[in-house]
Amino acid sequence: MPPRDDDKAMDGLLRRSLARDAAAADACPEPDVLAAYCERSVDADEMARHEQHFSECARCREQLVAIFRAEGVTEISAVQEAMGAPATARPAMAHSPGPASPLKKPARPGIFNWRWLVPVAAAIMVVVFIYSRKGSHLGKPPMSENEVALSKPEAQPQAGLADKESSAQYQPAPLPAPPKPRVQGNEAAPPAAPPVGRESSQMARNSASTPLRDKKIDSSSALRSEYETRNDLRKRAEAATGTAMEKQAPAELDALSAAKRDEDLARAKSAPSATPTPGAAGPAQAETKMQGTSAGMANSRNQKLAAADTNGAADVTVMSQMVQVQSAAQMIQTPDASVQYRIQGAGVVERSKDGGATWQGQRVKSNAEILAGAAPSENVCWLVGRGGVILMTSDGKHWKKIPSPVVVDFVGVTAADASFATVTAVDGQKFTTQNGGMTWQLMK
Amino acid sequence: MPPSPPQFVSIEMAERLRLDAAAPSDWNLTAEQFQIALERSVARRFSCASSKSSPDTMAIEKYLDSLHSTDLALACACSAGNDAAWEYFVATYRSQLHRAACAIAGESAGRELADSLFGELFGLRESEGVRRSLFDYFHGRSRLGTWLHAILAQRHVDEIRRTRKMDSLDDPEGDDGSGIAQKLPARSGSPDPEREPYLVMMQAAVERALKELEPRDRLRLAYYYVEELTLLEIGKLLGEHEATASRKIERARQDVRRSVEAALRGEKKLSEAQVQLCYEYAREEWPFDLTRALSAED
Repeated sequence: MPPRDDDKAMDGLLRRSLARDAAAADACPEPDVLAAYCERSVDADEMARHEQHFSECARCREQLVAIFRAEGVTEISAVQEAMGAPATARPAMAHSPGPASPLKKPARPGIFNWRWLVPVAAAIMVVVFIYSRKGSHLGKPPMSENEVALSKPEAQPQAGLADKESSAQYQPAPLPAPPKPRVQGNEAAPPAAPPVGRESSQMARNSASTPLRDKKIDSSSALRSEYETRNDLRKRAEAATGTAMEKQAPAELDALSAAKRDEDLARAKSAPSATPTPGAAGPAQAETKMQGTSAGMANSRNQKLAAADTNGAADVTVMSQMVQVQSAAQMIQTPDASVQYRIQGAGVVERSKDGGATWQGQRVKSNAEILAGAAPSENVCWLVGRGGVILMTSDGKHWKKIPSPVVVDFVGVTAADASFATVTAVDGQKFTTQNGGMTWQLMK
Repeated sequence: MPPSPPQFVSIEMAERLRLDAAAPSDWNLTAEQFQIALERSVARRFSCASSKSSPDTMAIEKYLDSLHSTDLALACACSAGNDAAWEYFVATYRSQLHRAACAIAGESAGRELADSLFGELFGLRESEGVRRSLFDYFHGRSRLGTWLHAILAQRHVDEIRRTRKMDSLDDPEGDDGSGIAQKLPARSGSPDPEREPYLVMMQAAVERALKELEPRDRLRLAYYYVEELTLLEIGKLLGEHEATASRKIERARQDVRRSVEAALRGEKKLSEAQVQLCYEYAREEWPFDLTRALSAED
């Protein structure tokens, strides 16, 4: 008998044996425990005890599967799309011969497949080579895309900026297209819906490990979200005040406007090399934005370059504002330079006690979308976000939810200490508390 | 039944957690109400563990801090019949509950399932002579949404199993945990008198090998062979990568096979040919082609 038949026999036996309920029916955990198990909020010994039961109880397994389907029916498809793996990937069976058997190949996630990595690596090398050639023609060392964008000030100086600033009916430019060599990756994997909960961290790890494709998707999504947020804020503020947003919007909106102006400036500067159409976003601009939000070193280098630019005294100011705004979107400084907070999204904030060398993650609230923060001291930090989220820590470790005066999106916060803080809503309303959020007063 | 006096949660602690929960004032949730809910949650959590000694204060505080206090506050307020809380609950969870129920039970049955749960959440149920809201069974260990999904799942699975049980009264393949030999259908015209003993031996060896596995390995195999989940789904359910799930399933499968063959050869003194015969009988008796079963999902 060939091994293939042995496998069939073993599969049948396993299925038959495993399908039998061996657990006592009255020992099944209640729904609250099943839900906690699904969220991984049970401790290790409890989890082991429950898994012992689940491995013998078909009823509980069926319930877990149903919960899983209810929780993540869309999430699964998103992850599968992102990973490029079919839903029916199955484990390798060592004794399954024959090319026709789908069990022959071990199921491997698509991102770890070398057949993908090789062409991606080749594409990266081509991009690097092209940019290095370009740099050598100019008699300069190869520049990053940030530097490329800044080094062309003579072409249409601030045209985009002036247009945008003077226009009350500003419509944001379409999202910048990714650079040509990387488009293949995006085409191969269309942007997926963001995963939630535990999966988001797993996906974040995956995307952080190697795949350029996933990183580009994330950056594009973040950029799109930023554009939408900014546009939304602008529209709401203009509707509320009836005037240009730069004049009367709250400070946070001003900051966002400054970021917008900077993008326009960068777009105007990079327009001749990237695209002949003013106002249209080019690849270099997309890179500038994406890198500028994350790379502190690149930002400081940009500042130096901007300072050296004779045309750009105003540009220097704008660029430094951009750096501050983009940093402020992520970083929250405290009076003690060694202690910093960093908003990581999905309810996670990180804290560093050594000036940013190492970071400790803190889950402040599940899936809370934090938009701004203020830290008046190293242990006190206030965070605000969408849906009336206000959070505060007074010891740098434990976060507590503060009752919100209104359920709106908060876009800014200033704080003097753990008792006194002022939060700014998206419509410009400001609320202040003097007792740590127990009560709030609307500021006139 | 009047609530027992609080043992684990002081009123100060309840008040602190109530403030942390940031429940809107129009829910009218008092510290005393919240204390009762927290007390119930702690009692339930720690009564399941060791009953030898009462839990220490640190463990209770850690547990209380881990609770989803906002959701618990909402459940408390809804249980108390607060209109504002109920309106908030309906606005937040109604559509989510319908979507989840449809994902679990299909479009029409799912809608019915969700509606019946909503109706039950709105009313009171009698348990041990006491009228209680279904919300009282939420203890804050998970998000309220996940708990609602778990209730939907439980109701759906129990209904399916009840139907299946009625359908399988005449089904000789029904798994009721009785002896293996009784479940082997007499194969008419089988010339081999050793067939049934071989099958009994084989299945007993498989069951013993499965018992020897780690629970998590056994659970992985069960998800794979019985629930017929994909590796990706198994990985997500168990919090591991699908490649890990694949590797561990294959390893567990090999362990079972090795253990079964060792038992047949060592304890039962079967020859290689007899072991192969066991496989052949098993394949004929329970023709389960995993390849086809899995590819049927495509």
